[in-house]
Amino acid sequence: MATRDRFEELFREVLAGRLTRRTALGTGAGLSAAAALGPRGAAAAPRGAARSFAARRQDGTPKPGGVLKVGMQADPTALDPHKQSLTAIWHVVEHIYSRLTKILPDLSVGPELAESWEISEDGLVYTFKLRQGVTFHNGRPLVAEDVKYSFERYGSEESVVRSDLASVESVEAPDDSTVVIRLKNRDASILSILASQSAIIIPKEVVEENGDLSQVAVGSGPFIFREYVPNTHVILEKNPNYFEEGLPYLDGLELIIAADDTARTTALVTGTVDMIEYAPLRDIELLQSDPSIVLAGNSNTNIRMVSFNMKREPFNDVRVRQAIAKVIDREAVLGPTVFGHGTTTVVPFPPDYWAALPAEVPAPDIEGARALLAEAGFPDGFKTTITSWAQYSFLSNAAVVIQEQLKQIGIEAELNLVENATMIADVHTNFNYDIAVTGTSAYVDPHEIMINFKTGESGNFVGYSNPQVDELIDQGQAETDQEKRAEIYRQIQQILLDEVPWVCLFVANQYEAMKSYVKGYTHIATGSNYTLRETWLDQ
Amino acid sequence: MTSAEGTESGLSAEGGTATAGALTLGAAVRQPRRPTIWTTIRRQRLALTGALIVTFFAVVAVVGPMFAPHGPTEQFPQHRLESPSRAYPFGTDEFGRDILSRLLYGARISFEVGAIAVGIAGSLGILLGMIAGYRRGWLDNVLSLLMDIVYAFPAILLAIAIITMLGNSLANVMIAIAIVYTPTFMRVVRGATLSVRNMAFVEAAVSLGASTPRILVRHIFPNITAPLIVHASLNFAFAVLAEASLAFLGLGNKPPAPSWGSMVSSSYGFLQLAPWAAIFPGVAIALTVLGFNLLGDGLRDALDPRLRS
Repeated sequence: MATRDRFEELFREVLAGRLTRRTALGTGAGLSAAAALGPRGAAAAPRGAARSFAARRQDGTPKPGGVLKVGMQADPTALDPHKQSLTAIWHVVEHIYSRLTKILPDLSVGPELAESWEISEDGLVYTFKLRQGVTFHNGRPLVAEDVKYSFERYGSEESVVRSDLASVESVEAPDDSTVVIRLKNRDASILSILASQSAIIIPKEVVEENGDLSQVAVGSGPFIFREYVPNTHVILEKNPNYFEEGLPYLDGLELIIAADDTARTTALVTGTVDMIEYAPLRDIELLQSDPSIVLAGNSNTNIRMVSFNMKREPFNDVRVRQAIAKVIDREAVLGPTVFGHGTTTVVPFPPDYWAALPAEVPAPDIEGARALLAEAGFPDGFKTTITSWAQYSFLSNAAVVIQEQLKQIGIEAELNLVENATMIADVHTNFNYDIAVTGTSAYVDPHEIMINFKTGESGNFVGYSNPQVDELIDQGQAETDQEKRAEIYRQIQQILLDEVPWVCLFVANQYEAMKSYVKGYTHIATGSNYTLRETWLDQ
Repeated sequence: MTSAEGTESGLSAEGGTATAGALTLGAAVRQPRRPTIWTTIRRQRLALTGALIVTFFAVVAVVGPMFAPHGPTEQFPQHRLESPSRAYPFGTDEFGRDILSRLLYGARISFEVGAIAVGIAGSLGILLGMIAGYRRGWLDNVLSLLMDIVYAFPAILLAIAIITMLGNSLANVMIAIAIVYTPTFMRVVRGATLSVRNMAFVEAAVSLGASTPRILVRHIFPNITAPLIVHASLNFAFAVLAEASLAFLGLGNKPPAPSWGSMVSSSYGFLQLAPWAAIFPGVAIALTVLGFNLLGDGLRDALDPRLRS
């Protein structure tokens, strides 16, 4: 309990922005685990960037050996994180490859392949010193030229995630252990982008030999890729030459794909697997009541929201959007979606996040909503449609609740629950919807969310445009002082609250559940499971 | 069936000479007075049970919504996943919706799908089956082959494929189920037609110069209704089950419409937390299907002369 309290304390400080102002960059929690909304964020919508405080690191002396079986939420479908952006890919390749940096449990950026780094006065040149003696799983030493090649592929035309590196001007490798990254403009989030799933360091010869990395994976990480059977499992084996001394403890990892929630819970309870990711929220009480099972994780930063197609009538009228915002009862959404394991919010950040605008969650105001609708010319409401994800009940159930709530002001909405591909095409790309109930993917840096409101950005699927907001977003990205950044972001949030491109609903909790003999695992805020390299079996 | 029992209830045996003719061709040919369908059913407890269950659910489908305590989509967020109580006799689901009310409205969907799908499948099957059975020859071969091809696919898989092509809506679910069950109707009708077409009365009608449509409608059809009724009853059960299965898979009615199958599908995940949310619609599906099966079996016993002892 003492440990838990300590972490809670730590966590609050991180959220408040007190602990993270220690980097040379001086940007505070300028961390970003993944790009924000937009087609790619949307594909990763269910991923949770949980802010952990149920960390369990003090588990005694690690015992090496054993194979850990983990029940995974989704099939990776392929293994190349430049070709596809799915959380499920990340949750496989993060064990195989290394990156320059990693997100630490306290949400700061720590070193992985980079031993240290320096940032120029103007904030535009980053110089990284690489670890010596790191080899790929094929035996070849990893050198700076590999980093240059990897980032060039990451930012190339064939990469679906190239927008991550939009602020990167060039990557250079002056010698084998030095990498220099030059930026076009100051970017407070670059170090955390270098810790993201797509920033893995890959060997060029493997790409050339196989065409791409969709079926092969040769990295320098703690585990060696052995086998991937689609929709079945991924088998990984300990890398005996891993550069972090003594790690990993496990002899191997078996990532077993158990997409069905019930199947995942059952697999853990019956002992078919030792651990599951995304413990189903409806089963939390059940899992807690089982003495052989331990949970790790807590509140998450993914925002679930109602968004409007502002290119269509009547949602181009701010009064209609405000009326809908007034009618929505967020508390009623929490139950059917996350079984109460979440926090309601009106701004696109968790209420206790450092950049969040402190704002009360208001009670629904039906009369006020009716008045606004009447003013907009719809005294009796209107007919419309709500589009949401068929696959994710935490979004489709929110849509069902909101459909019912809108009836109170005469808005009759037909519900379209569609497959992922349709959702990405119609809602997140082509403006082919009226109202959408959707969500964002993991983020740590506020810029990743705010960019969705900038005119013409791919993540701006609502078609929102406000020159003042555009200006503020640019200022926020360039600003390095966290207090000043927070002030800028609060201004933006105030404008968004008035203009309502999104009606933010809630942030969910995210948990991993494991048998009590699984020790040393730490829940990471970004949703990453990389601490499996520090996990061991006490049996 | 003893002759004493037969005499007790000889009310309608003479009605419709053609029907009587067809039925008496079997073993009961020397019994001028036969039991009616109704008396036969009454005599068989299981068939009677089936009839009662079917009647009950049919009545519920028609008038049930009038007695529903709440709207089928009305949500009471304060009363989520509550166990059965006076206010919510069957408990509430994850949205705080009354399960009883949803079941009552859902019965209508099940029966609508059953009636319309069986209606379409029956009509198609009768048309194709009678033509094939009466005309024989190449037409029979082609039609039978086509139906065999359709029949070769697993029912639910074929239905999913059809819905994928037509689009996901309740109407298309009915069409898909109808297409899937047409071949069995066609086979039943064709077989019955084959056995009737060589009867003396058909020969008589032909020699009197009756047209083919007239012979099919006036002479053959009335004589093949018995197996058809049995088959329709059994298929109604299949159709209800197929609708529930497809709704379970997310096909058919859009949420929040109360389809029994989708009610089971959305709540089986928290069976440990709130078993009533999945159990009551599950029981409703099971009972309806059971009712139609019992009724179908009973009807077969009543109508098929070969099964009379």
